[in-house]
Amino acid sequence: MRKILAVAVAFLAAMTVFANDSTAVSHRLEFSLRGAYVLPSNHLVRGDNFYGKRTRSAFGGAVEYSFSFSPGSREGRYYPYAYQGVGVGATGFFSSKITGNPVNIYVLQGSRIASLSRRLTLDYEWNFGVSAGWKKNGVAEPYDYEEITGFGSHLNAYIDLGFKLDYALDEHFSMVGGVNLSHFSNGNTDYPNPGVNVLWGKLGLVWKPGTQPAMKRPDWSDYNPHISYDVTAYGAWRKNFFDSNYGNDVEGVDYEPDMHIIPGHFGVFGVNINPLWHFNPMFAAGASLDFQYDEGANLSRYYSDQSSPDDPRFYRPPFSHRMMIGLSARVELQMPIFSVNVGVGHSICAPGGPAMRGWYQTFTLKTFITKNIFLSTGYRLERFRNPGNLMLGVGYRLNAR
Amino acid sequence: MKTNRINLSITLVVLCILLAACNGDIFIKPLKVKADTDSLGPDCRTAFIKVSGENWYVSDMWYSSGETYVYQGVLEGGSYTFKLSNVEINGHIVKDGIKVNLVSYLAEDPATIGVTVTDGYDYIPLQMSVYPTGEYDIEILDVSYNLKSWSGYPDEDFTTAVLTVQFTEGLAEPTEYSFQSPGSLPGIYWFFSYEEDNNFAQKLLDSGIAVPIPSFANKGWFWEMVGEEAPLHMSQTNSDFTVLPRMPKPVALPAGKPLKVSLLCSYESVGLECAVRAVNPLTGEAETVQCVLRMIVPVKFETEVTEL
Repeated sequence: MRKILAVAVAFLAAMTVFANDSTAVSHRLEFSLRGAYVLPSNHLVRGDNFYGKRTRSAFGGAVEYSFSFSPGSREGRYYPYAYQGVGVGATGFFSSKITGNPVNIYVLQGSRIASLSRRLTLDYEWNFGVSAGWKKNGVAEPYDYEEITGFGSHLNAYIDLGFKLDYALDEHFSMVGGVNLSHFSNGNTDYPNPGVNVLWGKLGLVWKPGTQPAMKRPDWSDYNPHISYDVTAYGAWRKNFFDSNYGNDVEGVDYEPDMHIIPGHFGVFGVNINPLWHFNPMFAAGASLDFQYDEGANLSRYYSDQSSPDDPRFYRPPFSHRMMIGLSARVELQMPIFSVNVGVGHSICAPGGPAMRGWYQTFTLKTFITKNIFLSTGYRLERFRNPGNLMLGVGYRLNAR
Repeated sequence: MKTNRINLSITLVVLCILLAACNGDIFIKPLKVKADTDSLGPDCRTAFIKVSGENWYVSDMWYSSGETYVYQGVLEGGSYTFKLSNVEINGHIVKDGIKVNLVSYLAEDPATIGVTVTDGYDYIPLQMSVYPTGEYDIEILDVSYNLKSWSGYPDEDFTTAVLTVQFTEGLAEPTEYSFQSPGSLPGIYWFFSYEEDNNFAQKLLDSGIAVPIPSFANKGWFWEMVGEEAPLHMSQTNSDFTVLPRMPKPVALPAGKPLKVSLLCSYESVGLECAVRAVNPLTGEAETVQCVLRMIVPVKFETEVTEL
C-alpha cells in the first residue's frame, strides 16, 4: 500500500513539473468517486463460497494523471481530443469476505466521442492495469464452491471501459459523470478464476493546470493509407484441467467426464503475423496468421492411469499435439502510444485435439515505445466464453508510418 | 536498429525463461521396450532389449522350459543369471537396456525367457524363445559302490509268499519237497543325492541311463557286482531282480495230512553309498556325484509248512 501511495505521489509531483510547460503537452488530473453494482456473473459473488456471503456492491475512488499532445505535434493533429496517462484507484466490496479490497494501478486513454454543446462532451475512456490485494483462495483443490475462500491469486488484471459526460466549468475545471464496466480476472493463470464484473456509476472533478490550447478538429490531411505488418511474440503461464475418464466412454452410455486441476502451471508461447490496412490514423483492419503453443493442451489422452488424479502424470505429447495455427480477422483502434486490437479467429491446424481447435478471440493492448516496437498485453478467449491465456510480449511493426 | 535487436533479444530470453520454468514435473517419458531379436539359439546367442524411458527397472525375469519355471524378482541393476542343469543364460542391465547372453541350452524343445520392465506407471512384458544349442547327452564314465557298508531300515519289513503248494488230500507217503527258483523276483530301487542344489546331480540321477547295481551275494560279504543293471531314477522304480538268494533245503513232508507248503521270501530295505562319475554336457567336464542307492531286495528264502 505504501508503494502504491509513493508511486501516486511521484506522478503528481512529476505533473507539477510539466504543468507550466504548455508547448509540449497539456496535463489533466482527475479525482473521481464511484459506486457500483457487482454483476452476479459467477458463483462466488452470488454467495456460493465458504463464507456464504454475497458480494452485491462496491465503492471506489481514483486519482488519474493524463496528458494530451500539443496541437502542433503529429499526435496532436491526428488525435486532438486524446489523453493518456496513469491512474491509481481503490475498490471496496460489500461483502469483501471473498474478494478483499484491492487497489488498482493502470494506464488509461480516453477521447471525445461527440461534442454535445459548447461545454458538454460525450467521452470514452479505457483503463488497463493490475489490481492487487484480492483475497487468495486457501484450499488447494476445492471440490465444491462452498470450500472456496478466495480467488486464485492476489493479483488480477483490471480492464475498464467507461462512457462519461464532461461538463466544463471553466478553462481549468470540469465535472465528469458516467458509467463504467470493469472486469477483474487473472487470465487463467491460477484457479479459481471466475472473473468479477462491476458496473460503476462515476462522478469526478477534472483539473487542467496551465494554459489550455485551443481545441481543433482532427487534421489527417497528410496521412496516407498504407499497410503495415505487425509481428508479435508473446508468452504466458496458465492453469489447466484434465479428464481422468478420457477414453473410457462406452457407446450408448452417457459419458461423464471427471475433471481435475493439473498441479503447477503451463507455459504458453505464440506468434502473430498481422498485416493491417491503415484506413486512417484511428482505424486499421486486417487478418492475422496466429501460432500458439500450449504446454498443457490436450493432456487428457496422455494421462497415465497408473498415477493418481490428485497427483497425475502424463506422457509428454508430441509438439504437434500442443500447438495451433489459426487465422483471425483483426480490427485496431489506434491512438497516441496505445492501440487496441481485437480479433476473432478459428484454428486451421490443431492436430492435438479439441483443446486448441475452434473459435478463439483476442484482445490486445499495444503500447508503442518506439515507432516500430510495441509492448503487447493481451488475453485470449476460447469459443467466446472459455478462459484461455494471457498474452504478454513484444511486437515489431514493419512499414510503420 | 541495435536497440530494436536488443529489445527483441531480451523478450525472447524472457519468453524462454518463462517456458523453461514451466511444468516439467508432471511429464513422464513413455516407456518403450523393444528387443533386437525374438529368439535365442545356436545362431543367435546374444540379444539386446532396448528400453527408453525414465527411472525404469526390471520388475521380474523368468525362465520356463517344460515343467521347469524359474522366477527372479526385482532386479535393481547389475547382472543376472539363470543356471540350471541344462541351461545357462546370463546378462546384465545397462543404462539403455538389458543384455541377454545364451551360454548353452541343452534340450529337445524350445524354452522361453521373459522380462517385465516398468517405470512405476507402465508395466511392459517381453519374452523370447530359446532354442536348443545342443542335446543333453550325459556320458557316464564310472559307477562305484561301497559294498562293505550299507544302511538298513529295519522298520521297513517286507516278507511275501512267493510260491504256495497245497496237498489237500495229504501225501501217500512221507517225502522231501523243494521249490524251484522263481528265476526273478520284483523289487524296488531308487537313487538319491544329498546335493539338492546340484542341478547336474539331479539331472544325472534321473537320466534313465542304465548303470550296474550291486546284487545280494549270499556269501560272507553281502553284496557283489554280478552284472545286474538298472536305469538311473530318483523316484521309486519297480524292477525284477534276477540275482536271488540261495534256495532253501528240501523240507520233509509227513504222509496222510493235508498240508500247505509255502516258499517265503524276506526283503530288506537297504541303502548303499554310490559314486557316479559322468561328463556334464553343459560344461564338458567330468564330475563325480555322490549318491545313495536305495533298494528293497529279496535276501532270504524260507520254506513254511502248515497243516490245512
